[in-house]
Amino acid sequence: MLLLNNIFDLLLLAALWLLAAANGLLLVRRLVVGLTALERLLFAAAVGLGGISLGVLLLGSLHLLNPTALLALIGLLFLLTLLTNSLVATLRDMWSVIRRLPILFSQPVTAGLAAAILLAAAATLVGAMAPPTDWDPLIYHLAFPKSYLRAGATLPILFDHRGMLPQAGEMLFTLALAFGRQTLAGLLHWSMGLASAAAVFALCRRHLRAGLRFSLLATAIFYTTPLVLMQSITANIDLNLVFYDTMAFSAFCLWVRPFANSAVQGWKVDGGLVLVGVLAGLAYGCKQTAIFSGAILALLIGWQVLVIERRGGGQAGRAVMGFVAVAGLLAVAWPLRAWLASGNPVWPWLYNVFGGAYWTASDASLQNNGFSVLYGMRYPSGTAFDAQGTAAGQNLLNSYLVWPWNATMYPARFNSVAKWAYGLGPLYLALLPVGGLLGLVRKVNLRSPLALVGLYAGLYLTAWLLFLAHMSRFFISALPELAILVAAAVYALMGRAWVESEQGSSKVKKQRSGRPAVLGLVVAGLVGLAVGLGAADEAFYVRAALPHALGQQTEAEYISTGSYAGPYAAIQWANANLPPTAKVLMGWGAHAYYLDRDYLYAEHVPGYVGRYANRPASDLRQRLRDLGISHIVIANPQEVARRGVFPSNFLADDGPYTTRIYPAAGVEGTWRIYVLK
Amino acid sequence: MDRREQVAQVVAVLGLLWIVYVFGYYLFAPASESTPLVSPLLRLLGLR
Repeated sequence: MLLLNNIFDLLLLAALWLLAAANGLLLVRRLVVGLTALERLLFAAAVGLGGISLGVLLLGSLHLLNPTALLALIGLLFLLTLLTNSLVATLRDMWSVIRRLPILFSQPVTAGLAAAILLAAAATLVGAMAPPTDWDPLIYHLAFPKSYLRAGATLPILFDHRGMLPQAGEMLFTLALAFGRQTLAGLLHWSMGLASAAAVFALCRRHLRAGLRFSLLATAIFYTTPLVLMQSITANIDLNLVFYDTMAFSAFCLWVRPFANSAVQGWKVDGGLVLVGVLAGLAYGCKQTAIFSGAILALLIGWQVLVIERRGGGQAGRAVMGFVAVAGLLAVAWPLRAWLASGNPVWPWLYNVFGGAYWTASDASLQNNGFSVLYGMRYPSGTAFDAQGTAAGQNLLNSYLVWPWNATMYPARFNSVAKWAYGLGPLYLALLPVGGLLGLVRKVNLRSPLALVGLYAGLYLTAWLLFLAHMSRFFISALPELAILVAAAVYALMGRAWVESEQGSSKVKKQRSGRPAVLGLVVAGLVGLAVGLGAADEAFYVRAALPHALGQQTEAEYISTGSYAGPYAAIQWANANLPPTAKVLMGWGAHAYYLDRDYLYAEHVPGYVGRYANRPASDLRQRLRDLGISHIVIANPQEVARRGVFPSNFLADDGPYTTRIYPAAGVEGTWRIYVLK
Repeated sequence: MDRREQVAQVVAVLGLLWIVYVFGYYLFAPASESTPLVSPLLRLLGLR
């Protein structure tokens, strides 16, 4: 029965992608022509899923967030695809793609790469089906959708600093959770990884006019990157961003060469620009960092019209403004929502500019330190760090020079969560410098498609270095382009031209010289090792989740075998014993996802509840009563003083303000539950 | 072979050394805080 449930979730996932692609097709086929079936599916699905997200948000804003209304939305969309014949067209495209899949196994090398991708996809599928136990999904990606569903509306969440971030991904999770499909939520993010991989493949085929082998190599390098695999098994939204960013860049690549490629003859240029804008706008709905990829695309659009095509400043301005207008239209719901609730469109960021409810200058400063631009930019182990985590003797220059090494060799420093310490793998650091040098020596044409890929990746990394916290998952969106560059470096080293024509030999650049066979073999061996082991390692990592995926374990049985067993038991106790009307204050580090009660977080936005550390405890009790709080759950009692919400004597086994009800007095336990007196 | 290609050959050979060094350090260097790519497999095989 449990296995059938998991299979049903997979079918629902396929149905959702199909429905999204069929709806997205209605727009995509008006904007562009001449796409391959795979491209059409990817562009259409991206547009369709973005539209569904916005539809769910609209229902939520209208206080209509319930299964009936959501079902009506889905039914309406289904009807639309039937009436417009787009469902049939999409099914035809899907069949066309599926029919060609055996080609991937036609040569030994492509078969090996395809097998590695399949193994990685299967392994991550097992992991993605497992009940969530990671910080971000439990704190907000999945917890907020549950809150919305309880309220029947996407009410503003100002008790958590992530509460008003763009939440397109979370809207899809909301759709899944509305029907109790927790596994589907995990699978949605997993599928974004797979879709991103397909996008890399399509980008190589179209934009680089690359052959099967090169395209699969780039795809495999991207998809078996440990960071990508780890994201694939976590219900986050980072891979949504990767997918949308990659599709936006793909649309841009099509737009810049409207007539250079015979396959896109008939491309309607303005429609193409609109598609770039639509996808960039939807990318912002996934994550705010898309503002940087959007800015890069705006820059490249202006450059293309002004410098490459020499159509003058007016035309360039119009193209950029057109792009910004379309992207803004698709993205505006999120900053608008934040602004209406808090007075700050990017709440709580840019506090100095916009201000914002419940946030203070000291919160902003603390947050900035936490997201320090020097995050991870440290010397190798053994170096003393100061309070800010920066090493003695460290300066901006040497930090920036060593980060590619450190991000590869010490990935844990570039991530806040241990699992994401699974970093970039060795391929990027090993191959990119060599490929870049070879490109310089051989004077690669700076206007070539590959150079454009390099330019985009370079600009993205520059934005990351200058403006973003240096966590490696914040440049995960550049990995598709970087993987393509790695594949190009492999080809350069192998002594073959990096571009193969789709048909075969006619466009292949002649091999410039004979490379010693041993060199090529070593490179091929190491690349194969990294790709193969990346996939195999993931399979090894997720082995504990296999019984659950096969339906042999329930959620409780699965979690009870892992490190989240204690917290899960505490929350289940709360679900069984707290009154249905209870409202819970979740203390430091307590995640709300599994809790089936209304809740607030205490410390994520300390101004929301208030800072009572230096005030009478009775004041906090009164404040909590005003907020309707009846119970308190504390994950890490030793950290309860952080951020100044709780007076020191407030929580006690049997004190004047609270009584501990879980675990029983005298029993140690990290998570504790108190009743407010 | 022209001069440019000769330089490319040298770069390629030096590049190979760099690649092997990076892989070696990534997989086996004891100073590494974590070598996530293969560490579970190496542990399984008793090599780490």
